[in-house]
Amino acid sequence: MTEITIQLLGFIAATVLIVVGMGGMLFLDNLIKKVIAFTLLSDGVNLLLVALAYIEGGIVPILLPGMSISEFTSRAALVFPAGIVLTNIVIGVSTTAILVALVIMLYRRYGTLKASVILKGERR
Amino acid sequence: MIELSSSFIITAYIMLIAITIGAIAALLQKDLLRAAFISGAESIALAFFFQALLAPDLGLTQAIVGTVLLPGIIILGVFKTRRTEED
Repeated sequence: MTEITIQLLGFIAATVLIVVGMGGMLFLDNLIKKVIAFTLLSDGVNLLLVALAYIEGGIVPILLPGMSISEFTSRAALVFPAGIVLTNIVIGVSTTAILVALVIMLYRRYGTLKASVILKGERR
Repeated sequence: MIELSSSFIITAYIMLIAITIGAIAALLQKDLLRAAFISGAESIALAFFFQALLAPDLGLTQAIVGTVLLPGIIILGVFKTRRTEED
């Protein structure tokens, strides 16, 4: 029986987000719902990376006055996944904007948001 | 040195439940506008989870981006197309 830590709860939440997001992207028919499921999947990947960077009993990686460098490096949470996730959050917004623009163009051409109808290729 | 990480586990439990309920409820809505708002609520629960995982800068960014920008873009798309999910 392992002890339940914040890191374990983060892994569980990331698993839930990734499974729900991937299931929504695969099995839902509405295109806007697919975009929302894509944002959920992206949140899940971000949460997985941040949970990997967590250190039990650690501190926020800010060097306060009066703290030695060796104590800081042994206790601070990792900063490299935080940099990746900060980039990924900002890029996710522009990716979602492009997806919504493509959905609007598909709606103007086909007159529906259902992926099963659009895949048949009958134009309005 | 203040030990913050031991008290954050209650936050982590509550936000785990909120993320699970919000992610499933956002995909089950028939009204797409309501689905966009619920995804924003799930995103702010994720921001609190980032705070509990010792990354407060990511929590701030996620709170702004996931609560204002992402639902705003999706709402623009919903207003340009149609609001309810057709059968």
